[in-house]
Amino acid sequence: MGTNSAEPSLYAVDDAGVPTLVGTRDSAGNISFPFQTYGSEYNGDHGADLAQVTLCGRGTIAAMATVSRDPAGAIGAPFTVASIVLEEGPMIRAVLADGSSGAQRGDTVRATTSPVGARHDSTRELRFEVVATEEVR
Amino acid sequence: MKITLADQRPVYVAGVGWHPYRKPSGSPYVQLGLTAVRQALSDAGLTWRSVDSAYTATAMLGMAASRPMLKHLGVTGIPMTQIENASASGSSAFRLACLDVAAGTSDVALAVGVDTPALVPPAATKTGIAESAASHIAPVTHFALLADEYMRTHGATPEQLAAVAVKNYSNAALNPNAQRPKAYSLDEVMAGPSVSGALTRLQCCPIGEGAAAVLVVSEDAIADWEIDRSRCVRVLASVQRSEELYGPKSFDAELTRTTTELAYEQARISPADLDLVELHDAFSIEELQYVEAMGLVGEGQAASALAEGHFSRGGSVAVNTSGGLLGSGHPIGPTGIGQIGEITTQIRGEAGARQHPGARTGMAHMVGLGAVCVATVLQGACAERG
Repeated sequence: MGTNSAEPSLYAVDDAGVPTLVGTRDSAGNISFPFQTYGSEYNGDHGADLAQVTLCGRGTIAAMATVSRDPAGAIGAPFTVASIVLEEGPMIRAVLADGSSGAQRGDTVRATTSPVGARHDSTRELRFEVVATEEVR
Repeated sequence: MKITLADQRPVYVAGVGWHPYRKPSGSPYVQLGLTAVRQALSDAGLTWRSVDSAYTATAMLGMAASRPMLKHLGVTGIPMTQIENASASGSSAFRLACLDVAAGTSDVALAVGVDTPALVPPAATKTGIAESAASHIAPVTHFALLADEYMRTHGATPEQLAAVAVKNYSNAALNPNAQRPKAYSLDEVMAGPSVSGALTRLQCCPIGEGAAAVLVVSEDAIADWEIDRSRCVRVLASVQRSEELYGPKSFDAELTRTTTELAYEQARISPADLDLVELHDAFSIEELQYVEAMGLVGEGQAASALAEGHFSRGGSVAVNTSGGLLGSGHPIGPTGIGQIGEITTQIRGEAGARQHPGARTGMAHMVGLGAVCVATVLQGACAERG
């Protein structure tokens, strides 16, 4: 049984559950997330002038919040979300992986995935986990 | 050559009216809207026959809300337009009414906001482009993240965040149109159930039903319809902008900075000239961010200025004398128009127990999903530019 991405347009997931985030690069080198061909917010490049770029999946936590009440209820509160500035520049919002209770602003994080909800099978959703200090070095 | 509102003939707010904001009751929107419009007409001393155009702000009613409501005032055939601009719907409708009168295509224009809650997914969910963790990040969590960043950057505390709500509820307690007309202590605000991050329930605005209406008039209308000039409030500036690229900075705050700078320039005033401000405090953190972005206080100084009373009634610039979105509620379509009504009432000196002494110049500010921002500057006759 293969591994599926819960959001294939945002990231692919390999059999080991490791995600690959795909962004957009315009002709001036501006990078945004996710990949799309409608047009660049920076300069209006569109279609073939936009290229897919694989992002490294690492970034820095800029802010965090623990969600205590979640109307959507898909993963069960409480959980922690973060604003993450990716190494390539874009800022995204993401859920932190279970076991990230010690995460702090300024920590380096990397993309991972987690099995989700009723589809607790081969479908995996994007998370970010803290990178150990020795790995950052 | 482009021209602004300030380059055209003067426009004034001559009448204001509300249907009180409240929890959903099942009342038809027509009943809510007509209550506000009739109150505004009475306040201005005008009849419906004098109105040349109508702009209806609504985000949740569906298509073509105006005529099924306004026909009950007597059919006149005037142009009617619906305006949807998320939380800034009412502000945008008011802006269009002002531009209509300023251009001379109307002498009397109605801006009315009316809504009853309904689940209307934002168009952003239908673009075909997914957004990371979108289903896990409700608006309150977006602002909880901004609160976390603000507290970290400026050393502010959760109690200082909650103090915004305490001030605004103290004003709402004096506002008969408010959805939450009750004062709360700091302990009560802090004790409420946490929703996301530092934000408790009482630091999140309620979304209910209601209506607000204002009548915008020209000098000709004041003369022709013998409107009481002493109760007319001049609209000095109206500016609307949309989000630009700010990197990781808070886009709502940066958009507010850009929009209000243009509004000051258009009105030929500085932030120090403002006596009162109605701003978009859907969540408590917003007020701290926006008073700084507006230049009312230096970066990182909002919480201490709030504690010192600068933003209270009687302070250097009273912020959200209506109770703001936290206290008055945020019925979406009416909200921006209700802000204009509150500032007009304050400048007239008719706000009763919640009157801010010396209110002469005020600014209304709303941001909306998208993001968009609208800023309007109003001024009473006593302080008009020579």
